[in-house]
Amino acid sequence: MKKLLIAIFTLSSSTLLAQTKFAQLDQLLPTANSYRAASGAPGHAYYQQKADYKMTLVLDDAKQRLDGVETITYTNNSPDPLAYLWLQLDQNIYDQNADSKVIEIEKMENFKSVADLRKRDFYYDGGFKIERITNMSGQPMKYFINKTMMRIDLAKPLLPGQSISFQIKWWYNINDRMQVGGRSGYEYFETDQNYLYTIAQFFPRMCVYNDVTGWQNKQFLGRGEFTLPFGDYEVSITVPADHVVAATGECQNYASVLTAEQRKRYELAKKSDSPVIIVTQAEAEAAEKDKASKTKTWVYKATNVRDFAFASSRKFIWDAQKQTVGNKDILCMSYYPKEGNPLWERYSTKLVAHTIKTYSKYTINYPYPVAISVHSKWIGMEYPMICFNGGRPEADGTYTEGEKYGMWGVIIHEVGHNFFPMIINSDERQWTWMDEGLNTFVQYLTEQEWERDYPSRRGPAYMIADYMRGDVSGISPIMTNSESIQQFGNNAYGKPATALNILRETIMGRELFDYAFKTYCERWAFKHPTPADFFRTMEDASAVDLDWFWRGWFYSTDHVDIAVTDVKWFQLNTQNPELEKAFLQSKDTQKDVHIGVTRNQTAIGQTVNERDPQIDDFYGKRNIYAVDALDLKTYESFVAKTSAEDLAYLNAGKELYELTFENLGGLVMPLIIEATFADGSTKLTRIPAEIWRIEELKVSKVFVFDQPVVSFRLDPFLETADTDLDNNTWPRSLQPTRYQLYKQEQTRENPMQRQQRLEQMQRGN
Amino acid sequence: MRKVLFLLLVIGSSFSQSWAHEFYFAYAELAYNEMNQKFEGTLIFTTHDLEKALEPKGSLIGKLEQSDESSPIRAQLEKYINQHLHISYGCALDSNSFDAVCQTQFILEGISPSLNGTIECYISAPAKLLYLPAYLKLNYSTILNVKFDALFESFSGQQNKLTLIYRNQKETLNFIPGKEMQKIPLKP
Repeated sequence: MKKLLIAIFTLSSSTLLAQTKFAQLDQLLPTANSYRAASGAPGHAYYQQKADYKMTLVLDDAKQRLDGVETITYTNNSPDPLAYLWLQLDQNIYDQNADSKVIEIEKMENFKSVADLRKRDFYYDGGFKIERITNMSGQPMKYFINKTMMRIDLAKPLLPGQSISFQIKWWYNINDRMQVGGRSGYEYFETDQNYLYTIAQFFPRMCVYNDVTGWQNKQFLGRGEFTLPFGDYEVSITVPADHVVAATGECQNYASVLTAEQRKRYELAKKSDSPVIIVTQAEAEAAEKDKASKTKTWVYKATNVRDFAFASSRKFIWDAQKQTVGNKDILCMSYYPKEGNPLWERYSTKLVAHTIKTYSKYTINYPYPVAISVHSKWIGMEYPMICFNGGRPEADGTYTEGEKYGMWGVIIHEVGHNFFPMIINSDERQWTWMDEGLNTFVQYLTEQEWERDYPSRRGPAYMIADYMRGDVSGISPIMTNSESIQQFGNNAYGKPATALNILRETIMGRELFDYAFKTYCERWAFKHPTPADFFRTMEDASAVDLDWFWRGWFYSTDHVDIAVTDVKWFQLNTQNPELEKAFLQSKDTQKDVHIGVTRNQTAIGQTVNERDPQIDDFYGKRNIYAVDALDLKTYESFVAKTSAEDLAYLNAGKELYELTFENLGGLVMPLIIEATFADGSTKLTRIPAEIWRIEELKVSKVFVFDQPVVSFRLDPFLETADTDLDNNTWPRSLQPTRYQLYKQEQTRENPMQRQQRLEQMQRGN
Repeated sequence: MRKVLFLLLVIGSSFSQSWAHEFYFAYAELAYNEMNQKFEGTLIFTTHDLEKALEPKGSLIGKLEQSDESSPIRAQLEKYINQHLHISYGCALDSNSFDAVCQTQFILEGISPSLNGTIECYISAPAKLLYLPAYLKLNYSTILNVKFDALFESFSGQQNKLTLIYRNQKETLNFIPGKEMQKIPLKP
């Protein structure tokens, strides 16, 4: 039905609801100051502390114990005198009385087996044993251990610009990672009776002191990881002579720990664009059997890193290749036991090289000389230049396709952590999303450049919809402290990664986003950014007000569910009686006709008024669709008063649609509307989220087209994480459920069954 | 009250904290097919989490990704689904009685592992008398008691969501340890 368009030139009186979704973030963000500028950049008075370490380590393979003596030189670059220093004692999380064990919520139904109870009560003598803390004159220093934190009281305050050196002697029993769990520890291989050590968080480490938290000495409860000051490391690691060591930094003495043949291979690898084996599987297998009783010491140096980790085992196979980033050649390396093959030899080092190359493009050039992936069953954990990654084939060397992608994903993710938070050094203890979320986002970009249509688990908007929809009682805002997050993975990894992907693809566009994101990375490389620095930089570098986005996606648990709730169709009234009356007549003839009327056309030969011309009077004879002189005169008058441009527009056959959109989920998002026309062509309209800036729950928009629309679809490219696609279409069209799609499939064969059938057929031929 | 703890003698099952994936989320999309009087739907799990949950209950049951319909792991999976996804509701076996309880028994119709590490399990279960005939004109609305605690026993951080689709309505509920059961009053 044609509706007359009556232009009423009244300004719509906006319903001035309290502004919430578009309220600026000023009240939520810390006030900018000389340390952190309102632009999101480091302020002119920005400072950070420095912690340099010299360590001598001895790994006792017989007792699975690590002994260390470390000398820390701590430089106070802050404007504040420091009366004491705080250090992190992460190993104390394995203390029998550690808070992390006590604070776990338990129910009886959690313990369904003896194994469950044994796990709960499992005890080993973990935690740091601090033997002494002395100044450089050998005098004891006063200290106090508060669970996972240790305070060293200074004889006199450390003044701005001053440094202090002191020495700590410690040891601890290394945790059996297979029994106790954890980010580091050892794995015992029963078949050849050897150990593989992945050692991290193994020494008392300086806490961060800065303008945001003062001392960041929040206890380590197991989830919120670390924040550490940058510094230089010199570390010597004594291990069994047949062990191969991988560590943060560059080895200073390969000449004394590798064979001549291995050194030759190493030199070859430094120039190679594909992996070169430095320690072969045969050499590793021989070492597994021989078990050297002597020791060797590997010496490492690392500059401007926030931490140090290493791995050691006689089981290690080692390969390496170079990857050029900017004008530097980075040595990419992998260390793995034979149990990691064939996956590891084939993929690990290539993945390392691809990851640092791709991340460098989106962030900053990888600044370190090496990047290392170590195979460590089950886990994925990151440290500067080195990470420990799962992805182990079956004992017979076979693996599923899913396991292959799992291994690829974890290596890309953990190597990617070199950038977040190892270089762009956010506070993990406080904000998990700042490293895991940003890293997962760049992981997605990296995966897509590794293989076209890589089946990434996180990144595309639609993949977060199941988690975000409906009942939000189990969801925390992204801006939640690391220890209090519900659904750690979806919340701290998936949702922020999705949010950034939406910013890049939909809100800002790739060019603006990439520039702003890179600006953030460049500004905060080798510094300590906060969420506000990120939020502000993204706006500062793009001229896009994203406060509504941060507020909705990072500070709330709202989800996206925008519905097309009404569509009205209009055409312009040309005022031309010949056109308009003909139009009305055609509409009249198109009206539905009752069946009796149709049948009477033939059943009644002639009606009375058809037989008797005297019956029809003026009303009976008039043709309401006939154009008369009065109509024409009125139209002539209208034409005389109307400009040629307006007349042309009126007669252009425009089709007008008023669409109503309702915000059911709470999160405001851009409206992306695809109109499909009768000829099959489509037109996409993108409306920024600011359409919701006054009316946050219901808005309408008029669309003008040159031909009639047969359907509208909201978010046709699944880019807003809309949780209900059924209300996105007009006319309403329900999306098939996953079950319905499954039932429509023609085959129930899995790919392997099909391959077997193919092979059988080929054998038959 | 003292409760008896039934100790299942399964010793030596591996346990570890994994810092790599942090998924711990399962999702169920369940639609009521009124024509067939069945619940039909899909459960989505992280594949290796699901395999781990199935593992202690049998030995060497294999990989879901490599299984076919006759593999023991499929039967194990169907049993597991019925233990951890459960719907019951008051139903009338005749027009004068509302005190009967109908319960779902899901059939695993198939699975589809995805390369991104998730697996979709397609299930259906007869569910008769969910709606009473309108001509009875009874002021009675069916309340579904839904339990969805899959993987809770394996991962303390596990959280599940279930979207129920019926008569053009959609409701999504959240299930966490301690809140394994939820009620859904069906709208007419």
